[in-house]
Amino acid sequence: MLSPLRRTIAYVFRRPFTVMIPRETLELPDGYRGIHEINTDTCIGCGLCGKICPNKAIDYVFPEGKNPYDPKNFRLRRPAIDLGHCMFCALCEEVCPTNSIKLTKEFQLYGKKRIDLIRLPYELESRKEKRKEYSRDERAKMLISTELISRISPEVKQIEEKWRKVTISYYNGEISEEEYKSAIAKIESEYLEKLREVGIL
Amino acid sequence: MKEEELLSERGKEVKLEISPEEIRSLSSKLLKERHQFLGITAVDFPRENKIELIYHFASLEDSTFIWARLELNRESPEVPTISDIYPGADWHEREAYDLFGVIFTGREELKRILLPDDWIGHPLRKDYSGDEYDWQSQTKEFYYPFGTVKEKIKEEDGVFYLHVGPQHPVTHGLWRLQLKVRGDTILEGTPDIGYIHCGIEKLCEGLNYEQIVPLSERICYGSGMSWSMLYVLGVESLLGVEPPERAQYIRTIVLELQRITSHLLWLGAFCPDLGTYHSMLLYAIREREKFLDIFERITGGRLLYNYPRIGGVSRDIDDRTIEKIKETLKDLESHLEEYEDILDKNEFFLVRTKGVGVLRGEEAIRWGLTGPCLRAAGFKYDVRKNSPYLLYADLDFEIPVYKEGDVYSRYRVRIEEMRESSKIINQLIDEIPKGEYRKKVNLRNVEGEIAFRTEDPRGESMVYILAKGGEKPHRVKFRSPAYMNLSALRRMLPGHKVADMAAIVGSIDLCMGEVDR
Amino acid sequence: MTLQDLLIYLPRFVLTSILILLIFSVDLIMIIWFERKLIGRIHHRRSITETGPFGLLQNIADFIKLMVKEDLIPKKANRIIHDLTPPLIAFSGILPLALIPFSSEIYVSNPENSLLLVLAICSISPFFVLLAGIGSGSKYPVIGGFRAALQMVSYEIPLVLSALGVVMLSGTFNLMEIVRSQVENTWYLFLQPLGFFIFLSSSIMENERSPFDIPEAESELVAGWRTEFSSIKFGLIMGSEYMKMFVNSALVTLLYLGGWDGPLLPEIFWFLLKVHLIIFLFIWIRVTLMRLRMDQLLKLSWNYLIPLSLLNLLLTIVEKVMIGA
Repeated sequence: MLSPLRRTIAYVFRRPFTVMIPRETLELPDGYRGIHEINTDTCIGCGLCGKICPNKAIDYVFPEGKNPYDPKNFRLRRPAIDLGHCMFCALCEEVCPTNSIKLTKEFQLYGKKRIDLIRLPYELESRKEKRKEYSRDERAKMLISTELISRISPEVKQIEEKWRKVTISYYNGEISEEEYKSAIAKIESEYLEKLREVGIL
Repeated sequence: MKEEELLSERGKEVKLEISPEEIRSLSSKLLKERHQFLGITAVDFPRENKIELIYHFASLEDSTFIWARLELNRESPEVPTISDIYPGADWHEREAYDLFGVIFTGREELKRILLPDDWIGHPLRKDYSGDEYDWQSQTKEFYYPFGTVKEKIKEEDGVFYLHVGPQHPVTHGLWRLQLKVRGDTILEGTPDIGYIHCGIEKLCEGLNYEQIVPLSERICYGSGMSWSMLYVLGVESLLGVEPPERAQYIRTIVLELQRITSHLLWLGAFCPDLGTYHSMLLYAIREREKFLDIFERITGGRLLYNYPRIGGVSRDIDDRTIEKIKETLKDLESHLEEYEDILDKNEFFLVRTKGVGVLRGEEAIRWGLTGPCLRAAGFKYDVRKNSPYLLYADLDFEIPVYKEGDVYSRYRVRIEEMRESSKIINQLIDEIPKGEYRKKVNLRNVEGEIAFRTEDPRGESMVYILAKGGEKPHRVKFRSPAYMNLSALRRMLPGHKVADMAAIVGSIDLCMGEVDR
Repeated sequence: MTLQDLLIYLPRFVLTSILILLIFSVDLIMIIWFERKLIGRIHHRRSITETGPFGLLQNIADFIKLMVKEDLIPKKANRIIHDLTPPLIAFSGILPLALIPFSSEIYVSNPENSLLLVLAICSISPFFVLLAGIGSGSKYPVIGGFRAALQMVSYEIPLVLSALGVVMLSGTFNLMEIVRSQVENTWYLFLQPLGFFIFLSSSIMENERSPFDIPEAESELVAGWRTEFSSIKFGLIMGSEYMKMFVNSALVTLLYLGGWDGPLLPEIFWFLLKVHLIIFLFIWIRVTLMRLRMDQLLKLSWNYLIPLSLLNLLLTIVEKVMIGA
């Protein structure tokens, strides 16, 4: 009985092994699997990362003003990542043919709403100076063409469908630009409202 | 009989085709010849209108591994039970009923185990849609999620029921233990599981072979590596792929590191169960932390590694990491001595663990104990020795065996195993050959069937993969050692005091992620 | 007692009561801080650091938190018992302070049989514990309550029997007199090492601290008899645990360690120092050893402690006769 007592009291005279985070920091090793960064210039929009992702946390957004449904524009798509669904397995990093997507040492992830955890490729840009900031509303509008939001709450599926129809008919030349813009604005405001209602935004 | 000829071939993988009636005679014969029952794998073939049941048995003496396959009609799948011969099969039969609707005759009531009692349909059947069970209507009323709470339990004189869990310090996860108690003595202990069932086997059917790797390690939070490695080794032997030698070395090293981490986590969780004021928890976690740092260096993750790949490993190991592993192992050695000082020389610890929760001899086989629990019961059985995989055939290590089969010997086995693992790593670490660490493997069109066994830190784990072409498997089944060790609680608990429940439950090293899958 | 006596006695009574309560309540907070810090360091971690210097104010923060928390009462609980037991337990914890002398000057009252009274008051609290367990209306507290009662059966006898050795040596039940006879001769620790050991281990049992924290066994009974108490009720019960610990350590100090006996420094300092040394011992044992099982505790007590304390009595008689001769 005495030897355990001796062993335990010895620790009082040693320095504690705990680390005072955040005042002290631990160094992360290279190759740590944290939040992604994407080089949007070298990315060729091949779609392999979205295909390999086990959690389907990657879907693609298109630059503003480009028709997402035109096969010609497929190379312009860039991966948006739902970090809330991501399991940081780094399969996307492995599969990328141009090494455009990489997992960094950054690991702190927080947000007040679900939409905060969905990141656009331009926000994850690997070159810091090119990184863009998006407000929640802007981000939601960009994500309307993806499935990232409708998989969190299926209620918005119909609105996304409407948006799709309008967009396709506009690019097919069935409706004029003014009609398109007013229709899109209406759909988008409805969309944002719905998202606020379900608590994503 | 055909079986006898096949059984005479020792040390091989034997595949038997039997009719449903033969299973009882076969299993009682296998029990006599000291075979461990490993599990029942059910596979649904909607097109052929049949359900296949595969019973796996493994010999405790050599590497004989027996498949007993029987075919059942899909509409009325009925098969005689073996749960009176192998009580450990009880939960497997309930699982097969739960997920496939196979009826086992001749046994006591067949209840669902992983899903709620009022569930409709059998989810692992291929034509299951999931629409039958209406969550909305269920959740509106007061909802008893699982098991027997719903039934009004009659309390006799002096006998009452004590519900341990789902939230209770000793459960180490989410499950419920229903104790029937007279005074302070346990008369019956019935575990109730399924609280965190997440259908990993069903999910696997919708993913392709590469995507299953990160999923499979989510089975167990204590030793993710051993599960993803198990899956990868299974797929590799299915394809007949020989990974590069460097990869094999690295794999063996990380597996043993994982074993040490898992045992340390167990040690840390076990001692507070006995009532130390968490001092051993902190000491063991501190050591584990150093190993997690190594894992972080090697794989990029601390808990979930996603490291093994079909045909190799995802990253190479560098010299600094090797140095670090050596240092940490040296450290571990001195700390293990310290743990022994604190625990083995502590009369209070010995009094609480010796002679408690005894399960040994034939009973241990019948209840399907594996891993440290079985070795503590006096059986020198370790898959690493019996049917070696990776590099274990050429390695020099001992299997610690204790005879008593009680909580104390389980603790001793795990401590010794940490030493042996450290010995294994030290043998390999300096001799990692140069070269490739990963090989490209074509996973386009996989066909075949495999059951691969490894020695998990908790016992013998097995993966069954049935591939019928295409990019996705037809059926993946994970055999979890903790599942059967937990079911053996029903044998271990009766006769003990309520206070011993904590020690016994702690000693079997539970991981609920693995039990519920 | 004449009016004049009363006029002299009353202000003294009030002043010493306030002084003792003040020392005690500050000390209580410090003991809890000390325990948390020491356990942290033994665990090889830092423990509380953030609130105040070295986390000194953490306990006050926790106390405020407990005050403002919701008081949850289970449906099946007996409301009166549930409300009444925590204050009663705390009361039985603090009452012995009226009888324990802190130094030869500082004491509230000094009746003839103060040791007997203190032991009697200390043995009340298991009844309240049993009551609290039954009144909570759920299973774990009931088991905890009965365990507390069983535990009392096992510690009470060796506790009193070993204290009897001291009484025989000093020839009095008065704590002041016991200390005085130690100051004059030698500490009873040296004359009664066996009695000291028995009294100490029985004290740990009385405190329900590891390795004898059977009634509240965290890993088995969640929190034992106190499972259903929340908010300030829990605070009172928590506090009373430390009060009991203080009282028990004070008893050990008075009976075996010569009370306030010590050179140079003021008496109160020596007294508190010894009390805290015993408390340190309690904490040290708590973090290291495992909890015993109920039947093992009974076995330990009836098979070993009681025979040993009887042996101790016998030895004391021999000692007494030899000294007398």
